[in-house]
Amino acid sequence: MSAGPPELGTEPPEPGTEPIEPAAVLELRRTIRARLGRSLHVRHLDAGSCNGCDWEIAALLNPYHDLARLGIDVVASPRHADLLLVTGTMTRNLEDAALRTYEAMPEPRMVVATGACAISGGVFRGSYAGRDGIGDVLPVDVWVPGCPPRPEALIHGLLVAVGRLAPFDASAAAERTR
Amino acid sequence: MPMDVLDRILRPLRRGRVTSRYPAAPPVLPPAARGLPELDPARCDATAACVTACPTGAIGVTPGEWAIDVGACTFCAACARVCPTGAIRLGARIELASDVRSDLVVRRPTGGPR
Repeated sequence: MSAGPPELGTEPPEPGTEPIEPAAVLELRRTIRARLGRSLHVRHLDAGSCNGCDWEIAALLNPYHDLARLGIDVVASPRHADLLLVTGTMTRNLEDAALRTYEAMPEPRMVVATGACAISGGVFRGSYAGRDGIGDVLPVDVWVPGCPPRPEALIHGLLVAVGRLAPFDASAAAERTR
Repeated sequence: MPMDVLDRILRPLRRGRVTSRYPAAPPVLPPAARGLPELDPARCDATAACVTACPTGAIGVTPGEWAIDVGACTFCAACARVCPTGAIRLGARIELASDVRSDLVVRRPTGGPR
């Protein structure tokens, strides 16, 4: 009890590594709870992506980004999900599956288009094998640009979806001094 | 040798917190990270070299205006490489998500002829 290292998890934080501002995190959790009554549950749907976006989504779950600290969980079934995180251009063969995935979700449900392909078709725009983005098939709530979007950009998109952060405003970006 | 193994096991425990503070703190980007392409209107001659170089056709130049659809941009920096006046630079802005599709189109005035 006297000497020796302190019990795990009770060490005082090093400077600069204090816990995330409880105010910001608690406000986010309050917002999610107010809108959904519980945490935000996300289902990832690959609609014909190159897997770049999917790897960035996978990175959200690693210890560095740790999506769960924000009260956001990734679930294994659309029936458990509030939000559908769609990657890829929506290839022809996946249209039916994507629609059925969306229809399996309980209300209220949101759709986030992840990456250039899901938004506009990206480098596959005009291909015979799919659509130019998922917007033709699913009602998109939030667009997250990037090729692929960085994990932080994905978090930003998810927080835009729950109304936590201000969305990207191009006119403000144009006015921004360089 | 056993101590070496023990050290390897304990190292992650001693390292402390590695989790990012985002969104409470700004995102930490590697130096080579590419964000929103930004145009310097003072240097833009409206040669539209970026328009033909863009692999996804995200950039459009009309008289007096340069516009990029961030929703189509792949952040490949081809526009920045071909620009004869070096007016385009990929910045560090990565928080680009929007709930309005048309908000993803960034418009900037061009400074040059046309």
